[in-house]
Amino acid sequence: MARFSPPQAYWHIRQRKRRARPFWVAAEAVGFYDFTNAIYSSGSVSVANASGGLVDDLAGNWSFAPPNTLRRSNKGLLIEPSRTNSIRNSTMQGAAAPSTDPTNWSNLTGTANGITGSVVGTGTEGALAYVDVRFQGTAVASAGRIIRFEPTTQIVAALGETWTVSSFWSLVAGSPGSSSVRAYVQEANAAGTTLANQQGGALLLTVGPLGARRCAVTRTLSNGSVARVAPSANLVFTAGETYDYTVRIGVPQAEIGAAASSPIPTTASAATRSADSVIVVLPAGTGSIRYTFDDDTTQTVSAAAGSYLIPIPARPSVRYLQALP
Amino acid sequence: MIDVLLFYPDRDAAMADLSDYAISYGGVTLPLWPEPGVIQGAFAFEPRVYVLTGNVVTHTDEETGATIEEPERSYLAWHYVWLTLPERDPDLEARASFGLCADRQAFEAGEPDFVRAAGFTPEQLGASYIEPILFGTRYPFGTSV
Repeated sequence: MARFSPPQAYWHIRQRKRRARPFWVAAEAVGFYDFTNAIYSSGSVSVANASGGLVDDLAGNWSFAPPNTLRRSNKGLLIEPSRTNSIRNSTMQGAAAPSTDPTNWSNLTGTANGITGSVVGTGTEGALAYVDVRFQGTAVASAGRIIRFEPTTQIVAALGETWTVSSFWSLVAGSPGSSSVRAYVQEANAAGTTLANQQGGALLLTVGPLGARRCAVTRTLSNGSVARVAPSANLVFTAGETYDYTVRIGVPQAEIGAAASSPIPTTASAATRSADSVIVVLPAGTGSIRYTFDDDTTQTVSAAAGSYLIPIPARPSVRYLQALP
Repeated sequence: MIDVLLFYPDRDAAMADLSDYAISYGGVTLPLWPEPGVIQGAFAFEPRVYVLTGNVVTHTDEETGATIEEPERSYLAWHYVWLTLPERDPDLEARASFGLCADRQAFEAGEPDFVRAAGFTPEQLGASYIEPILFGTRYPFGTSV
């Protein structure tokens, strides 16, 4: 690898963006695409995406990209397959202080296990809708509070499907003590009776951008009687501990896939985000392309010169693309 | 952008009717079915359509004890394909499978005639809910048209 001699325009822009990360290009590269700065060595970059979608930046802020536009930020270019958020109300429609759950949700407010949940308010942080909820009281048992985003009878599912359930959580006020939250997914039969469940790793409740704090769990449905999947979050309390804190909950999502994708806001119905079909014009001499992702890992796939549809990559956020011989 | 809904007896019929369908974009042609059973997710997906029966169903969560009442749904026994296109396609609108054609910008601008052509009556559109919807669209199908 050797440092690429950038064209003059590239050099000027890099001078203005002193904080931008250096972009190292292989000496043999015949072209490059710096999506963090929207600088391309040749040709154009275009996208087909009928729905548009959300894109996050390095700070965890989410914004909306209109249909047929690149979902690009300082984190890179987001390239995802089509996904459906099966949670009908991920924007907390119907929530009201102090004790009205969002439509279709349950167990967010009211008293359980000695802890009372109260809606404080709703709003948006960037493109993420949220509800602020205060939890206070002394836990009478070490147990979780299952906050349902849909009834267990709602989302139709089938044996062998892989589902990912996720939601965003941040601390607004108070101290959560030992409390934490885990994404929670259940397999159920058509009547909504639970057959199996699984929860993800604990997400500590901390102050900061909501969009950078997401809990998730992935499960491949394995019970022969499964007909529904139930997405929830499990807010955990410790017996005898007294709590008084307020959390911000944003855009829960239940989707078929092995990892959480960008959030899909919904209001009254499940919604599908279109795939990103990104097309670049690769220069003559191209034999492969190398992705550099937001975590600095790379992936190389074969490609040819001319208009080229970029395959869905191993990671969704692509920082750079190099065209190689 | 133009949103088009087509309907078929089953998925095989949809794949057969649209076997050669594609859109060209950025110098590349995107086939509707890149491989059998896999629809082109950049401009198409396969929703379901339901109507409300007028009954109410009650669910009691065995774990949380919560009770939720919801209108009962009846899903229509068709296979639907939703396409989003840059402009109207007379060929699609002439097919027996044509359901409706809606202009997204016209709807967002408040134009009352945003449904440019329909194989359904206004009453049917007003009673039929599409699920899932395409993210970003807010057509009032199922509520009032």
